[in-house]
Amino acid sequence: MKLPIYMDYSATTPVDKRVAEKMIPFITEDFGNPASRSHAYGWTAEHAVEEARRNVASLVNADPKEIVWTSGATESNNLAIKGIAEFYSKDKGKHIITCATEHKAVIDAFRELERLGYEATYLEPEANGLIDLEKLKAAIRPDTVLVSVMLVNNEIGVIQDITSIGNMCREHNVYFHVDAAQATGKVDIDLAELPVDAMSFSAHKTYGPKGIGALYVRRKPRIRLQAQMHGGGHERGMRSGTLATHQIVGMGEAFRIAKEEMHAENKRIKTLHERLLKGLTEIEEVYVNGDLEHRVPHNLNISFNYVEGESLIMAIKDIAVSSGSACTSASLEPSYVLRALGRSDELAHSSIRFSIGRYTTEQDIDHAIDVLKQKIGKLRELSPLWEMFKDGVDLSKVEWAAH
Amino acid sequence: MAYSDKVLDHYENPRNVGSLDKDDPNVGTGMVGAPACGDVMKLQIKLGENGIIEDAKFKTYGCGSAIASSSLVTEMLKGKTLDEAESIKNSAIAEELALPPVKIHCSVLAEDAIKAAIEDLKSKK
Amino acid sequence: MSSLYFDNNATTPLHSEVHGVMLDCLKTQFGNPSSNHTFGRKAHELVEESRDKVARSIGALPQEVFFTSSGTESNNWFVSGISSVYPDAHFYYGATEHPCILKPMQKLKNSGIHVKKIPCLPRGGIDFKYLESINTDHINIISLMHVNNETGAITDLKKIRKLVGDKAIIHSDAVQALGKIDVNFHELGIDFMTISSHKINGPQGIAALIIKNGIDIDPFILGGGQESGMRSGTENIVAIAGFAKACELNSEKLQDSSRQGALRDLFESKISELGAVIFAQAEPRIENTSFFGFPSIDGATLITALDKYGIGIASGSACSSNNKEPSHVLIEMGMDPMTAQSAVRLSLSTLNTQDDVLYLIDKIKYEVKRLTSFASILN
Repeated sequence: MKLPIYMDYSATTPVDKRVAEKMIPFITEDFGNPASRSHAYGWTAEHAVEEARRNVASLVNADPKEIVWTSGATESNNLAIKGIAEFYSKDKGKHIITCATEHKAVIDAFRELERLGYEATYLEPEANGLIDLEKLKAAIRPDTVLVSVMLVNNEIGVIQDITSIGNMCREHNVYFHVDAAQATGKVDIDLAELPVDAMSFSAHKTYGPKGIGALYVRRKPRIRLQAQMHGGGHERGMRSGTLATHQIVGMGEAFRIAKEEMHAENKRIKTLHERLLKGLTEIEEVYVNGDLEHRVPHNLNISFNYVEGESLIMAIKDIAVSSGSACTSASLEPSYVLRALGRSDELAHSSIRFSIGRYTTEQDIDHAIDVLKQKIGKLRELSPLWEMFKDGVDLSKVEWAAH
Repeated sequence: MAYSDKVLDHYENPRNVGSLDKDDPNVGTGMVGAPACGDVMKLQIKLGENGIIEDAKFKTYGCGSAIASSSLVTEMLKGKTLDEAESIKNSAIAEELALPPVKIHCSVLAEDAIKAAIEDLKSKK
Repeated sequence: MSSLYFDNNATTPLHSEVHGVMLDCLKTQFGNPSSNHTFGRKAHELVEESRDKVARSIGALPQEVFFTSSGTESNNWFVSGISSVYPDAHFYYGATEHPCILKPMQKLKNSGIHVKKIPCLPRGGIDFKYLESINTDHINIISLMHVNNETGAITDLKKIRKLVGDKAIIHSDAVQALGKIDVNFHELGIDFMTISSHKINGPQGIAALIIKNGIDIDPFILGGGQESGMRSGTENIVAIAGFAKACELNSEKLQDSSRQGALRDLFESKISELGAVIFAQAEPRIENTSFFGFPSIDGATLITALDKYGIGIASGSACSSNNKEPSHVLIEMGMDPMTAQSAVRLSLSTLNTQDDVLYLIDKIKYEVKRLTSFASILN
């Protein structure tokens, strides 16, 4: 077994070797600018870009013309949310809805729109992380222009009911954006059927390179958006900037492989997930965060009560995991996602996200369980909260000297 | 964030973990912090006949720096008088452990724990 | 080495050493730089080392370098981010800027902000007199490209600073300057600068906005707070490592510029004999670029004719090679649309040899003769 063991696939995935191989020629010989229409260098690059676009479209059953390249899911989310809101707010109004457990890229784009005079509703999810459709229905107003909900949550792995949410949006004539950065290769996405107007994708969460993503923009019925990056008019005017051919080729190949292998791969990962869940829930006082049924098996977010998450991560340094999303792991705040689920402070501070993937083995899982059992024991020996719990003290009744 | 070797040492081999009898008149207990903030420190000191701290124990729920800060403090306290103990400053703890700026609050918490333990002890006399 | 690729202002081939660094990184580095474990820390260190290298190569501090996905993004970020900090400032931009400055400036103007275009002189340089007349008591924000992508004309940024005073905020799109002339951020006396990797034999998909310490700007892409909160999105580590290597190798390229200049002059003297017009020839220019046209021959026609010999050459900027509009740069210089329509851009690199250029001249000579005879039949 190779140490350290990587169990942080939701932060990023290694580039699949087959993807790297496919990218290499476009780093070396075929270097043309895909926008150069006047010579063969440009055409070769353009051809490769279009093949990749077909592969990305094919994984999500969209038309290649509906795929716009971006620098990543963060940019896709910014473009979709600001772009749709700006384009349609004149007709529809300036109210927008999202969920409190969305990725920062969505939340911050919403905050920016609020600064520009929009009114935003942040739906609180249920304790299992899912959105209550009745609450969404109650939040929709005549001036609601956009709803943005993620397909698979990055911290707790729950799958939202995009079909029902989308149908509700259609009924009320509201545009619907979905952040699917964590979903590709994990759940089936059929955009020919799904009532979704725009969807964000990332390559590096699906074994492709960092720095490349895409935005799906529906053509039938046609969705328009206000471009956020202006310039040479690449990507049919929706997103200017020289296309990064090798990265696009990498994303295309990663998505092609995902389509081919996801069903077999997900079965294997489901088995690993069950093994991990069974092993870790043998430990006393552990709580799984997020719905156990409506979820991807790639993620297991679990709180080890009375043990602080950061010290636990330090203790299991041979296992690379995270205490929430990578983007916020530099901050000391407990996960805002777990807080939104109504988890107590102790549990929110005690959470660890295990995310597994293509290269995780059974031995990795077994080793992780062993290490966790041992270290949790050690840290609880150190924990005054554990001592109080064992003495039968009700922690919620204690008056803490807050500092 | 990379931790200093001293933090790692205290974290991996914490000194003086455990509890003293909190009802013993010669034992002072300080409990500071809150679960909501992500750290709770319990520090106990035992005063000898000669007015010198003869034992110190801790338990801490918190990050590596919080655990290291409280472990270090138990070492510093042993052999000191209460006056000397009271004069331990958080800056000395932070410096000894080379804490990064975002972790300075851990040393502040450790200083608070010392003060709380001494206060508890004095209230028993 | 030899190459019939003469379109290096559009994009450049990857340097073999950059390629090596990227392959190594692609195979070994995959952590998310924001993650708090060994994989993440290694990726983070790689990003920071790369930032150091980029900073050093352009005379900036590491904390002044912010990675973005393209020169286009950097320029859009500048316009959008600075205008939300200074909505009452007066904005000025050069008439011959790249569309990724022109369009965001146009958008600002449409939203009611004071935005003015600095005219361009027929020689290809900007009109300094215009800048002498602006009110320096006001907060002025100026964006001028260091080197024009089509003509290769160089703008003297130090002179701009003298004209507009210390209070003005100056941004320069230096995408075409890097690798062709010495670019030193602090010596130039500007506040913001855009640079891009794929114009200096680095990978596509990575660029930077350089922001002088202490100057305020709002972020453009929001989210997880990467790049000190200024540019969200998971860092493109492989490309960042490649960009840094390309920056390190940059000085080699600069040493080759006089050789390229000699080739360019040879080229221009030969095509002048054939009746070509050379644009911005009297202006200080970068040495690898020649912007020219044969008055009776459409630029796109000549390019297509040359492509069949495997020659890669362009009609101005690659971004706009899809549309049929004549070069906006030449129109701003006061050329008539017919002449502008004839424009073709040669842009050399270290790989082009004298034999390559002679071959190109030979083919141009043949094709010009052939195409002129067509034209005379049609007339």
